[in-house]
Amino acid sequence: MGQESRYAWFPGCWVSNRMPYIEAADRRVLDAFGIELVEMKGTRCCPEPYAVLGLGRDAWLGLAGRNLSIAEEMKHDILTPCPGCYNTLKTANANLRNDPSQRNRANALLSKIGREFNGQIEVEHTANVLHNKVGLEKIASAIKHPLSGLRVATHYGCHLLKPSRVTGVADSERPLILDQLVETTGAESVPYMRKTLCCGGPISSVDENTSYAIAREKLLKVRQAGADCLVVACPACMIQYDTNQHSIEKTFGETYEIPVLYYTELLCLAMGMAFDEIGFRHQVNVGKVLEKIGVPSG
Amino acid sequence: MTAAEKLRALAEDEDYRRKLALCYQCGMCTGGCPVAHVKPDYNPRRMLESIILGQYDEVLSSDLLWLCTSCHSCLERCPQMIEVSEVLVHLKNLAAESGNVPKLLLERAKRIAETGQSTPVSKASLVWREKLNLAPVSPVNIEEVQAILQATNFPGWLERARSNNGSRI
Repeated sequence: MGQESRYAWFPGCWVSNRMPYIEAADRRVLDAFGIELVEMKGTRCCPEPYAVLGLGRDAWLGLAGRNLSIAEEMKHDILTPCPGCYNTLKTANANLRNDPSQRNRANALLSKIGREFNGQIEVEHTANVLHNKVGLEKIASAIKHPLSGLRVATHYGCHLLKPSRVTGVADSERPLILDQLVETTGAESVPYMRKTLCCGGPISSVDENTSYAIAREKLLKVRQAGADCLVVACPACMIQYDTNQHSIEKTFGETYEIPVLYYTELLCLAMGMAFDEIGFRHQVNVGKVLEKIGVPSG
Repeated sequence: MTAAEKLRALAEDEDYRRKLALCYQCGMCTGGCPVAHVKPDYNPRRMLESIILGQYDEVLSSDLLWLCTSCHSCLERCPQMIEVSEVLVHLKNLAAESGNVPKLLLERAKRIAETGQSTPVSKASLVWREKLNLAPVSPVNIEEVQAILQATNFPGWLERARSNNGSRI
């Protein structure tokens, strides 16, 4: 479906219900590049890879198979802003295509609701579509307000990269696309230690201290590198680094004050959209980022 | 069959046994693990060793199992191509069957089973969506979600795990 510029839009639970600003930023950017998003009615959870897959593989496979079958019915590839959803749907898609035993089990479940998995669509994440389909050149030509001088630390999100046999990423330890996307805005992607470290978010409800200790390590390295902000491609990582940042500071008696942006928010700013229009609602104040790039915060 | 017996059957399955036998306990999985780095009790290498040595009850009753973030670093780095994080999913599934599930995780699973979503739609989020010129989220077709879950062992073990009161976490 190479020429298709219409996707089945799968924002997932968190972006739909908790972080709509990510959906708004994605929609603005994708719309500007002529990509149409069609709602996947009746869907929400991918299902998430921690509670559902951890508790029962067939339940996970069946629910993911249902979402895939809905997109197949729509005849569109799936596009999601969430690496968690991306990973679940892409892994299930690959498993169901390649393993007859899993496919038979899933189709037995899907037959209860008159559906079937046929393996006819692909699953994409916003960053991949921007990088591979829209392309860096086209994005560069849409930049009206280059973010020159802004030093950015990028964080991909594990599930956008791994397992590489599912995501097709050439080197999951040295990924490139988000850095290239950031540099296209005129900002500088700065090198820093522990760049591909997990955010620790998935276990925050099970062992908060361990989860926060993992996030702390990244925040310290980002600060050490002198980055102005952290740019992520994952809503779950955004929750961990932004929403939880003050709790992490309190837990360790430290101050980081590192603004966190989702990639398409950064791109919106570089494409000249006014701050008020974008609808930021972050925990950590982004004022110093706006000041540095000369965007009035309204 | 108990969960430990199921794990024994899995570990004795020829393909599975051959894969696990490739593990020479180098510890790459643990060296690259974000959890092990800050919590040394958590040790994926040791979990694989436990299966190889037949210590099924021990590995399935451990709370530590649930600390895997599923970042898949272990899977990517294993020089013997063992999909360690996938093995951990098998262990989690079996531990869940025997009632070893963190309570908060159980609540999330229950919420997904009841509403089809891991995070509920809040009034605030609806207002916020409107402000951002986003259409309201369409309702989940919960009948379809539940019909699928009913046909798996999901409701059964949810009930069992609830009566066992979850794990100690």
